[in-house]
Amino acid sequence: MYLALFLTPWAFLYAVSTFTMNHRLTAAWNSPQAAPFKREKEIEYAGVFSSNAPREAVAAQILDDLDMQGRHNVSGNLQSGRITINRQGSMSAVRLTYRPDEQMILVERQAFSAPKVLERLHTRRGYQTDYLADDLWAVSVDAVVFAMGFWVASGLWMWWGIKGTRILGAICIVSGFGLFVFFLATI
Amino acid sequence: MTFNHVNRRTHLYLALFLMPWFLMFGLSSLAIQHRWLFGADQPNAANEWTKRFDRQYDLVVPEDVDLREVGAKILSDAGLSGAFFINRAGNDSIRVNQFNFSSGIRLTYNMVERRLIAEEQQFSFHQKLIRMHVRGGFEQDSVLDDFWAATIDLVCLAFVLWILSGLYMWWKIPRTRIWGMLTLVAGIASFCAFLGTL
Repeated sequence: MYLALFLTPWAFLYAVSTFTMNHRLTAAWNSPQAAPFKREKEIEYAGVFSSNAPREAVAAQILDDLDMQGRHNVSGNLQSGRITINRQGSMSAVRLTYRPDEQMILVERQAFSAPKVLERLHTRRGYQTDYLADDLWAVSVDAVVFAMGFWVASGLWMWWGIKGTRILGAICIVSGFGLFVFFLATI
Repeated sequence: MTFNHVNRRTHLYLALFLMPWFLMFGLSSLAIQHRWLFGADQPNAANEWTKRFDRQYDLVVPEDVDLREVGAKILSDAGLSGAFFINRAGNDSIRVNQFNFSSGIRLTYNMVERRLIAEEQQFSFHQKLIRMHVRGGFEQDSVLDDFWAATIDLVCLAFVLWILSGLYMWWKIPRTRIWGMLTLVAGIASFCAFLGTL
């Protein structure tokens, strides 16, 4: 019970986000037109990098200097004159476009979109970045997975302890597994 | 029969019926989060595509056509059926991915060369789990696919019902209220902290 109470927000998140994704609400509501990036500001950035610095190192340095550390992906390179960093926050995404020749960074923020936030949180996997918050999130997802196994086992044990529910409960289990196997075999 | 009784029985029987989906989502989440546990981080022969045929094929595909109709036609002409996704692969090609839980067939139609290539892939256990996890939506033509998507909706609804009925059952046990409240608040606070820092 206490495990379930602690993990209530995660259970609610996965229920609602799965529903929106099942109905493709995220695709419909989060087309570029539905959740566009809007220019927030343009800032001077006098970072100094060697010409052959890898883009990952440049991106990490820029995020560090702007105090925006966290999960991101990066494209472009110094030679091409443009590096684009997509900082994937949980509530919003921020796009930073660094132009080393002009020593400027364009900051654009994606418009808030509830389905997009749900999808980002739902699909956020762990242990892939160097950021502690990301690893802690992954631990919380592992806790949800562990809890699901625990709830199945403890639920079966509690059901078996209530003798009056054994027959109807067994019918539910058999019909549930029967339907699941039917799906596996037919679609 | 009291509300408390109905609440408990609904909580129980719904969970017993949906147990396979519950187990599937738990196990597949593990497969997504920890690929190495399933050997998915190693090169695997089962992941390779095997060519099934490569033949001449002629189908005019206008720019503004509904791609799903094109996909159904290509599948039908190839003697295949079932759930599929379709997308344009560059300017010259169309790719149809037909799949079930065990295997997939990739059809690539090159509109310039007028060639249709079919490749098949047998899914590993890891891939099967992921396929189950991500399968959903109501855009396929098959009624059974819609039925599967409806069961996913049922699982979502069940999660919300378990939360609400669980909260009700917890509140009915007065001696657990303080610790339960502390746990609930700690969970919500942790979750909010993640939203603020990730």
